[in-house]
Amino acid sequence: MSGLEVSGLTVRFGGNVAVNNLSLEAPLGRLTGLIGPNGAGKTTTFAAISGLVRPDEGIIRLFDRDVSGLAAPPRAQLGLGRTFQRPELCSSLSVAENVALGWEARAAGGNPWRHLVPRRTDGRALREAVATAVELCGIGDIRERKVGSLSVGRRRLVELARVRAGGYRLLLLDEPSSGLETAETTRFGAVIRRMVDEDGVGILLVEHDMALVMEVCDYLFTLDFGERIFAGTPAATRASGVVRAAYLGDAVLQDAAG
Amino acid sequence: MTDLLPFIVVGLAAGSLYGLAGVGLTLTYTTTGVFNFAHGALAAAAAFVFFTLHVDWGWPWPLAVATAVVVVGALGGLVVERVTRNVSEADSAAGVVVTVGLMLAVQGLVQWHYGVTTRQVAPFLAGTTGHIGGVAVTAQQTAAIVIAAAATVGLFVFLRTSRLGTEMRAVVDNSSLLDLNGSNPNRVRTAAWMIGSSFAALTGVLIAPFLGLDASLLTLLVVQAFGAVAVGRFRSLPLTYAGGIAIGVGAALLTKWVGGHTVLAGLPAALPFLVLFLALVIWPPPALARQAAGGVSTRRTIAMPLKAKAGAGIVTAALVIAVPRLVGAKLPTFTSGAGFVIVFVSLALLVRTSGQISLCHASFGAVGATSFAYFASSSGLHLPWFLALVLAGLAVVPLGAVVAIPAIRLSGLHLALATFGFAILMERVAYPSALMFGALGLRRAPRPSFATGDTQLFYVTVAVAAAVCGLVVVITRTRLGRLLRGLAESPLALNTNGLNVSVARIVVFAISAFLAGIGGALFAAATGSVNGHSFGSFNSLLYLVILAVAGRALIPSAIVAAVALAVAPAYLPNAFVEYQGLIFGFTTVVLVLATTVRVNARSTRVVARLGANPVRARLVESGAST
Ligand SMILES: Nc1ncnc2c1ncn2[C@@H]1O[C@H](COP(=O)(O)OP(=O)(O)OP(=O)(O)O)[C@@H](O)[C@H]1O
Ligand SMILES: [Mg+2]
Repeated sequence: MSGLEVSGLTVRFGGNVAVNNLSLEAPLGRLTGLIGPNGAGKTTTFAAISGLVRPDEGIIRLFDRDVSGLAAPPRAQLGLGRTFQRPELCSSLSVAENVALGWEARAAGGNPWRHLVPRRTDGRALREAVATAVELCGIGDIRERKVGSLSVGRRRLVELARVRAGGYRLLLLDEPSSGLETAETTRFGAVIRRMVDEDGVGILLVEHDMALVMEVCDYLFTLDFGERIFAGTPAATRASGVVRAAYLGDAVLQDAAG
Repeated sequence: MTDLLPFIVVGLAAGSLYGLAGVGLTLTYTTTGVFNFAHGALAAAAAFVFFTLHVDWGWPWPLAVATAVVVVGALGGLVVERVTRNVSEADSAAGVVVTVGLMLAVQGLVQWHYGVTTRQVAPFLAGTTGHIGGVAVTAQQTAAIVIAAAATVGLFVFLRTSRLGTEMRAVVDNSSLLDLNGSNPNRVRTAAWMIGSSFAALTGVLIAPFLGLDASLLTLLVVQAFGAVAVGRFRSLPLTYAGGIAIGVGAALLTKWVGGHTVLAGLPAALPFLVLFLALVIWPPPALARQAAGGVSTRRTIAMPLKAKAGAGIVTAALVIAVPRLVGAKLPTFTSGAGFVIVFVSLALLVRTSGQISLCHASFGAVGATSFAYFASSSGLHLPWFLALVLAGLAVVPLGAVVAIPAIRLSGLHLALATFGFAILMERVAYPSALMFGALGLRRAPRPSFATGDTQLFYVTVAVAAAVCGLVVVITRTRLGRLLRGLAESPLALNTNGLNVSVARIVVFAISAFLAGIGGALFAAATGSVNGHSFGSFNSLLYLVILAVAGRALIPSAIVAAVALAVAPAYLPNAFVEYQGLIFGFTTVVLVLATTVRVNARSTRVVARLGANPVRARLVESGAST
């Protein structure tokens, strides 16, 4: 299987075990969901996969290659893209500039020369990638707006356009739909479904919007307190007793908060 | 062994005081996140206050010591706290600029009031306290050792047992939680600055009898403290103290071993920097949890409309072309000013686009100047003038890489420290050597054969400066410029998109070093010969603060800075040159106080912390959105 394979991942923060002995796969051409209540360890899992956090144990394989020892940039160079739960964007730059920056960062990589002198074909390739991604994500009308003036939902779409323009084969999306309006969410679901079906990318999706998850995902991993408590199709997950039990506690918490 | 004893005693006394200064510095750094370059300047101020009270006014020494330490400690602490209050912890560059400005201001103030000549002072404690292996230990030495040890132990106990001390330690780990718990971190910060400044003051008073009353020498005490702090890995007080002692004893022993070898005479004095440098490279400190990647504040200057820009450009060009007709005999000053435009543009490129600080740009200029002299002069390689100019710039690049690469990988603050250490090392060890300014202390640099007259040389220099400015503008507008702008706002985004963030920072540093080398070479050609004084370590600090007060726009600020540094003195009284440090340092501090950019560091910090706790962050977020 080619794509992302995580086995035996454990991440501790001090004495606190955020992720415990987690194994999962996100192959190309499949939309894989990663769900779980608040604090279950989903974002931490993403951080470990993308190379931002050094795991205490476990192996991460990307396209049949052990990348556990690599830093974040080389993992991205191999084709791993991601978005963030709190969007990481440059607020003083426009939407198009933000999207282009991701592409340029990948093109520059670790090569000092490429920081200064782009390839001859870069200009055109960049324009095309940005235009396609911006259209696909439905933010063509706000291309020239400064990101600082956008709503959180729109920012998530900019981040999505950035990974899309970067040409990544495997995407980690951290709660990309929170902050979107209902119509936007539907559209968003269609967009990522298309990326998987037509372009053959693999997606690992962290989402709290259960309706969306059940609708678009092919397969789900469920986390609670850092442990994988269930793995199966959306239908099987919905029917699972352990998953319901885990979410019950969270629902209480959210009711109390709201 | 017995012949080493006197050196060990001397080293122990000095080292105890380095440790004392280092402990104060570590305390303030860990509790406030701001690294205080003005630490040694406070020591200098206290030493002068003490000797005024004790020698000139005849106060008994215990009273004079107590007064100097309490007054300078409290006052200095309040000033530093106020000046650095709004410096966001993520922006290490701002912290460096502000405290370097403060350092120059305080040092300049002391020199202004007391003059620049070193005053020898008798030890205020007379006599000896005993003999160790036949070596007399003076009372002054004993006092230094005992007081430093007592103060360090006292601080250690205070931090562990008192409520305020516990709060200080808590601030280090988690200042926002303290906030939520109802303690006031500002009170804790102020207390830390006062204690840290008192430690600096005490060091100054105790060390002056050994060093003499010399404001710049005492100010540079801070670098011994830097070495000690690096050994303490920026957080451990006991290790810092031990590091200070090791540096003191090591330097004293080196002095003995170096003995008559004049080549190595600068080595003992440079030891703290070697320690600082090696400690950073070999034993890098763990990143502070809250240490964000450095970056410039993203407040953008209001862009001038294109027409206005073109107009300003034409006026400037016309003025420059007319300069030889207008200024008469002062033309050479303008030529070296044009050379300095390049040095400042190179620094501006580094600081403004990447948020990195170099405190060794004068050293780069010096290396550029001496290599240029070697490449171009008839006694050297006698290469074509322009080729020699480019080679001079290239010669600086590998040197810059060696200094910068290990530090850039750590953080902006470490880069500032490493470059500062490098500047002092160069000044003490390399400048006097035959490789650089040689026995004569001076290098001759030729003019191009096609521009031997003053006017022609002026135009050639201006043309090179204009070309460099153009190049820098191009760099900031093409890929590297875009990447750096992105890095200032979201390093994480670029990192996870495949950019090796250190490479981008190193590339811009290398370009900056290259240009600084060319600027130094042109300055050398303009003046005909250069010596180390034009490029002392102090000059690098001065460049930084002048650039900071010269505005925010890339090219205009570099031109204004070059005029202020190199041209203005020709039209102003001599005192201006003497007090440039005071004037510009003071202006920096005033500007920082006046243009309070309240980024509201506190609230962003809380949010950042809460980000680690998703549940709470979400509560905050939803609270904010409804
Ligand atoms: N940098 C950190 N330091 C210490 N603890 C952390 C850190 N990051 C996360 N944690 C802890 O690890 C656990 C897992 O957090 P994580 O952010 O991965 O959860 P999550 O599943 O993404 O939650 P959410 O759905 O709220 O985003 C939590 O208990 C959190 O407090
Ligand atoms: Mg999360």
